[in-house]
Formats: sequence, C-alpha cells, structure tokens
Amino acid sequence: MINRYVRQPVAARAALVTLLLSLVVLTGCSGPEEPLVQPLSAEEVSGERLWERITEEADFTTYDFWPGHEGYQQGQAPHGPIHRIFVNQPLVSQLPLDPPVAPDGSIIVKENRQGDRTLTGYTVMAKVEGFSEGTNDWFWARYTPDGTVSAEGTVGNCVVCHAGVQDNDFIIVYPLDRDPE
Amino acid sequence: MFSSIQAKIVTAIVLVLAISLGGATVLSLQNQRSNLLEARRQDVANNSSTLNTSVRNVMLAGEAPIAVNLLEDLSEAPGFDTLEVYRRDGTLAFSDFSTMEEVNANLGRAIFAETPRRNGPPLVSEELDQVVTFNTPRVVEDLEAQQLEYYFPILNYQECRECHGGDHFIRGVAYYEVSLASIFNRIGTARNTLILLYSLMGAAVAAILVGLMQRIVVGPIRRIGGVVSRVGEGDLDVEARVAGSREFETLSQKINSMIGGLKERNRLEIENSVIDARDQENRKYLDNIAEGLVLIGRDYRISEQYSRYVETLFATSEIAGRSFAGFIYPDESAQQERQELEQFLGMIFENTSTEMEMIMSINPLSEKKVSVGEGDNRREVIFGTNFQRVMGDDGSVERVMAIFEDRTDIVHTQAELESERERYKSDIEHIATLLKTGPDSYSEFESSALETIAAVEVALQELPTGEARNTLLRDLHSLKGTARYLEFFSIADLANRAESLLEEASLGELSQVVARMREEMESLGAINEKFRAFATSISEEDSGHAALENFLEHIEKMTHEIAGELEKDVALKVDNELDELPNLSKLQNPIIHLIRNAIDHGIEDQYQRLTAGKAGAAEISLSLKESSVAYTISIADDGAGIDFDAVRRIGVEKGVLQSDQEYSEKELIKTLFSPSFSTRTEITDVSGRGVGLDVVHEEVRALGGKIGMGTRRGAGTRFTITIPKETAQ
Repeated sequence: MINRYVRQPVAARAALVTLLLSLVVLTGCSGPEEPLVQPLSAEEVSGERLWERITEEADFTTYDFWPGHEGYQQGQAPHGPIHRIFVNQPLVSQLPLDPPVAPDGSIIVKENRQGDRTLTGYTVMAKVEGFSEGTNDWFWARYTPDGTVSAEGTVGNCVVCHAGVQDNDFIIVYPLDRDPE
Repeated sequence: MFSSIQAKIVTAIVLVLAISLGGATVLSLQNQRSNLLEARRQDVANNSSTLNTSVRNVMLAGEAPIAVNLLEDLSEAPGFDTLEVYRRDGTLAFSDFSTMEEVNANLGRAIFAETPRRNGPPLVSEELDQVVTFNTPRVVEDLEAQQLEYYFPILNYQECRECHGGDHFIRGVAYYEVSLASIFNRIGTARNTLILLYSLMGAAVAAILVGLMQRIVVGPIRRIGGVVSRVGEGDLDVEARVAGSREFETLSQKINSMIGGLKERNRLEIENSVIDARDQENRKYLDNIAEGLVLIGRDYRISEQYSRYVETLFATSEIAGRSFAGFIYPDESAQQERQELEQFLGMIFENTSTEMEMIMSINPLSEKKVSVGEGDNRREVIFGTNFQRVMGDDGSVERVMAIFEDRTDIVHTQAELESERERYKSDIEHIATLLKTGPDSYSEFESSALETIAAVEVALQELPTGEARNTLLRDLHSLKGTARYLEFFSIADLANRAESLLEEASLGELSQVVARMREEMESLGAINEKFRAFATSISEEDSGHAALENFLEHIEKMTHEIAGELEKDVALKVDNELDELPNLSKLQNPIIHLIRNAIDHGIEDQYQRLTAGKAGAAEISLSLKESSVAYTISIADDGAGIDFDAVRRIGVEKGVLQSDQEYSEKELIKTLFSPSFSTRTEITDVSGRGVGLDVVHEEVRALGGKIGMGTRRGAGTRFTITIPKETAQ
C-alpha cells in the first residue's frame, strides 16, 4: 500500500522531468538545418525562381541572422520601422570577408514590417554569378507577403540606395569585414 | 480558525481569486505597458522618419539654415525631451562651419552665408557606434529612468552626395530622448485602480462566499452534525431535516435511513428480548400448568411448544413434530377419524370468517376417550379439547392452539354421582316401600328376587336355550311384576331390561344389569335389615294389632294393583277375626305369595271365566281365625283349580313321579309342595300353584305350622295355614 503512494509522485516527477528535458532539447535546437543547394545561375534567376529557392528548396527561415543583429531590429524607410534579416550559410559562414565581397550564391532576405510587426513584404538580394556586372552580380527582388513578385532584377530604387555602400558590396546593414566575434 | 471547513474553502477561493486576478492584472498591465511603449516607439520612429524626410527635403532645396531652425523649433516641441542631430563622429551638427566649408568646397562655390552656430557637447555613446556600424536605427529603453532613447541614422542618399560627396553612407545620427513617465504614471494609476477594484471584488466575493457557504454547506453540516451527535448520545428520536442542496438532501436521507435502521434494530433487540422473556415465561408456564397445551402448525403437526402436562396426560414424550391427528388417533386403522380431525383443523385454519364458536360446535374432540400408556400402566383418559386460533400478522391463522382438559376424573365422578344419586333415590323409594310393605313381606320378595338373579348369573356363563330360557324369562317377568307391585321400581326397571337383554342375548350388558340388580338387592337388604329391627321393636312392644291392620290394608292394595296389571277383575274379601297375629312378619311372605299366585295363576282370565260361566269378577277370600289351640289363615280363590293331570305329567317329566304308578290327589298335592317340583319351574299350562310353594311350606313349617290345600277343578283352590298357638307364641 505504502509503495503505491510513494511510487506515484516519483512517476509523475519522472514524467515531468522528461517533459522539461525534451522542451530544453527542442528549444536548444534551432530547428532544421539549412539545406545545401547549388547557387542559382544567371540564366535561371528570376523573382519567381528566387522565391522558390528561398521558400521550397532552402527555406530562408532556416538561415542565420547577421551576427549582432539578430531577430527583430529597428529599421527605416523604405523597409519599414521593424525588420528581420536572414542571411544564408554561403555568406554568413564566410564572415569576416576581406576584401568585403559576398560570394556567389549569397542570399539575404529582409522581412519588412510595420511598427506593430505586421508583415508588409519581403525584399531579397541574391548574388548570381554573371548576372550583372554593374551591381556586383546582385539580383534584387521584392515580394508581397504571399510571395507575389512586385519588383525584380537590378531594381533602380534598390540600387540607388544600396549603391551608397558599394565598398561593402552593396550591403548596408553589416560590414562584411567585421569580425563576428 | 483555519481548521473550519468554511475558513479553508473561503481562504482557498480567495487565494485562487487573488492569484488569478493578480496574475491577470500583472499580465494586463504588462501588456498595456508594452503596447504603450510600442506606440511610443512607433511615434518616435514615425516622428523621426518625418523629421528625416522634412530636413532632407529642406536641405535638398538648399535651405540648410531653415533645416537648422526647423530642428531647433522641433526640439522645443512637446513630446521630445531632447532632439539633437550629431555627426558620425558624435560632434553636434551645425556646431561649426566644417560641413558648410566641405559643401562649398565640393560645389566649388559658397552657397551659404555663415549663420550662428549651435553649442552642445558631443554624443559619446556605444549606441552611436552601433548605428554607424549597422546603418540601422536603435532604440534604448531605460525603464528605471522611465526614458526612451532613439538613434536614427541620417543616410547619405544619392541626391545628397552632390553636396556631401559619396565617400560615406551615413551623414549623421538623429538623437531623440523621450520621457516614459506619463506611460508609467498611467500604468501605475491603472494598477492602483485595478488593485483597489479587485480587492473590493475579492472582499465582496469572499463575503458572498462566506454567506453562501454558511447557508449551503456549514449550516447543513452543523445541522446534520448535531443530529449525528445526538444519535451518538443514543437519542434516536431525532431526524435530519431533508433540505438544502441535493448532496445534503441525500446525506440527510441516508442519515435518516440510518437512524431508522438503528431504531429498527433497537426495536428488534427490544422485541427479541421481550420475545425471549416471553418464551421463557411461556416455557415456564408450559412446564408448570396443569393443562395440556399444544400448538399445531399449518402442516397440522405439533410444534415444539407444548406443555409438559401433555406428556403426563397422554403418557408419552413423543409429541413435537407428530401429526396432530396421528397423535390423537395413533391406531393405523383410524384413518377415517384422522381425516375428519384434519378436516376440522382445516376449517379452523382456513374458514377464518366462521366464528370459532360455530366451528367448535362440531369439535370431534369435545369429549374423547383414549387409551394411553403401555402394559400395566395402560389406562383410559377422557379429555376435552378446546381449540383457539393464533393469528399471524397477515391476518391468517398462523397456528392453532389445542387445549386438553383431563376430564377422566370429572366424568367418572359425574357417573359415580349419578349412580349415587340414583341409588339414593332408589334407597328413598325402597325405604318408602319398605315402610309401606313392612320388612317381613320384603323377605319373600328378596328370596324370590335373589333366586332369579342367581339364575340369570348362571345363565351368563352358558346361555340357556329352549325351556330353560323360557323359564328364566318368566322368572324375570315375575320379578318385574312383583317388584312393581311392591313399588321397588328400580328393581322392576332392571328386571325389565334384563328380560329384554336376555331375549336379545346381549350378555355383556346383561351382566352389568344383573350386577346392578344384585347391588340394588344388597342395598335393599341392608335397608330392610335396619328397618326390620325397627319394625320388630314396634310390633314386639305394642303394635301387633296395628301391624296386622297395616298388613291387611297392604294386601288389599297389592291385590288391586296386580290384578290391574294382569287385567283381571279381582276382589279380595278379608275375614279377620284376630286382634293380632303372632309372627306376622314371618307369615307375611307366605300370605302374599299365595295371594299373588292366586291372582296370577289361580284366577282365569276374563275370557276363560266367561267360557266357564263364572262371574267376571273373581273373588279371593282371606280369612284369619283363631281357635283355642291354633291360628288358621286360609286363602281361597274361585279360579280354575289345580289340573292334576298336568301335575302328574310334569311330575313324571321331572322325574318326581313314576309314570307307571297311580297317585292320589293328596299325593299329587304333596308333590306340588316338594322343592324338586315347585322350586324349579312354574309350568305354563298348569293353572295352579307352582312357584315357591315349597318356600311357603318351609316358612310355615318353621313356625311349627302346617299348610294344606284343597282344590276342585273349575271351582277354585284353598290354602289353609295352621299355626299352633303354643308354637306361635
């Protein structure tokens, strides 16, 4: 009789510990790993193809953030007051880069959000070998939240601003030669 | 206090309320604060974006001094505690002319005049470095200081580069400092209001709960607890009120049914002890009462409950479990009786609408005689039985109680009393008769009666047939007649019954009747003895005359009675010359005998007399005379006279006379007086004397006298007794 009463809380405690451990393990894992894929070629690149790449072939939510710029961050026009920037492994794993030039296959996805974090769209940069000499082979695209392409290629409005940081390979937010540590 | 259920439940509920409401308040306040902060952040971001665009456009219009004025004006505006613009290196913008000079140099002309410079310390901040590094705005919230700092990068857009050159991406940083105190004040006010509200609510809820608990839980619990404690103290006359919530109703009902059960148990215990006591009392009663009680079940068997007296009464201890009918009628052959008794029991059990009084009227055991015991102890028991119904709770007859009453002694005593009474009655009669008759005249009757009784007793051993039977019948008939004449009616009755029983050959009853006759005769004899002594003393003293007168009077009466019985018309003519007759008592019997013989046998019946040409009225004359030497008593009738031929023939038949010898009338008369002739028989066809003549002769001779007889066929017979005076004295 006594054993029965003792065993129950032990079992319950064991179950609780198991649950907590599994939670720790789950939260400890940062989710599925980013798949390794062949970089897009200049011939195939397009807004739709790039969307396919960042949603189906290598989901951008598996990407890392810029070191020191993780998660939601303050932003400004034209990307909205709040953003999150996802950077794929071909780029983030190579940091720091000296000279500061992103390798081919680099993809940067920026979620554009309002102050209350409502998603307004995605703006994406992808480096495609041989795509465009004037923009260091960067391909720009803008999507509505449902993935509809609203601008693509060497989009003027994008280039105007990003060209201000040509010495950082058109990348505004993170200095490529900065040591992530 | 916290041990009471009320306090526990209320405390628990208030705690839960406090925790949940407190949690909700905290969450709600946090949410509110974060919303407010977010809104403030957006405000700042929007304002900064607007300012950035405005300043840029003013600058692009080449109106840098207006942009400076605008900045200064806006920094005074409400909502901004601080608004400053710093260069990339942290120095205050517009604090010197270096930028203006640079622009003038880039454009190759001086487009701005020198306006007053602004003064202020440089901005030294890690945040500034961050903004310059990542080219993005930054927000720093110092909640303790209730302050928000916003760093906004002012970019070197393409259109800016004509004046400022393209060697840098960021022109500077706009710095905003915004107080959050109003937000925190609002949050604090809201918090206080909520705390007050929730405290009031909690108090109200607690009060309501306490009230409800009191009413719904504590009250009923106390009430039921009170009932239970009273039950615990042994008071079973309480009842839990069935009211309140369903659970308490159920509890109350269960407690009430428990109390009911306890009551029932108590009642049963009391009942059991009462029943035990009653059983013991019953057993004691059953063991001691002098009455036979048995209880009969519906299977008509006797139960264990019966009184010990039954064992005594029926001389057996095998009673319980036996069929009642089998117990009463143990003989296997009495199936009919058993069946009838069980039918009777069935009526008692089943015909409950019939009164017991009615049923008892056909009680087969109202008086029953049985034989009980074995061997030498075997005896007859007469018992009466009464039956009573023992009703069950359902109104049916559960058992029947049979009550035996031993009536053996009562019945015997009653019989004895009855016979005693009869004896007494007959004694009285006898005394009366003897008084009338006189003791002497009884003697003759007695000897005759005893002879007859003895003859019947002989006949009981071997039933006589033919003539002997006829003789006996005649004797009985004669005894009956004489007894009646003498008014010994009990003897007359018994003789009459004996006569009938002899004819029927019912020897058993005849023997009883004869025994009774003998008893009667003994009783009569005893009375007579006493009476004789008394009568003798009277006559010896001075009543010789009176005795003779009395005797003669009685003779007349007797003659009249016997003649009446025999339907003969007889007149007694008495011619008495004596004053008194010595030895009257001893002479009475011979005289009565001879007169009776004369009436009965001497006198013909009316028809014969008419045929003979005689007068219808016969005459018997009794004359008493005396001479100097003797007393002469003569009895004469005018009847048929002695048939000497018949006497001769009978005498031959009886072996008294020789058939081949001639006998004179004198000799034949002598034969009549001989015992061998006359004591044995009275010959029917002899219309003369026969019965007891030898006795008469003997009695006369005992007095020293003689008896003579003269007879003439068709004319009559005369007996003459002569008693010499010397012997008579």
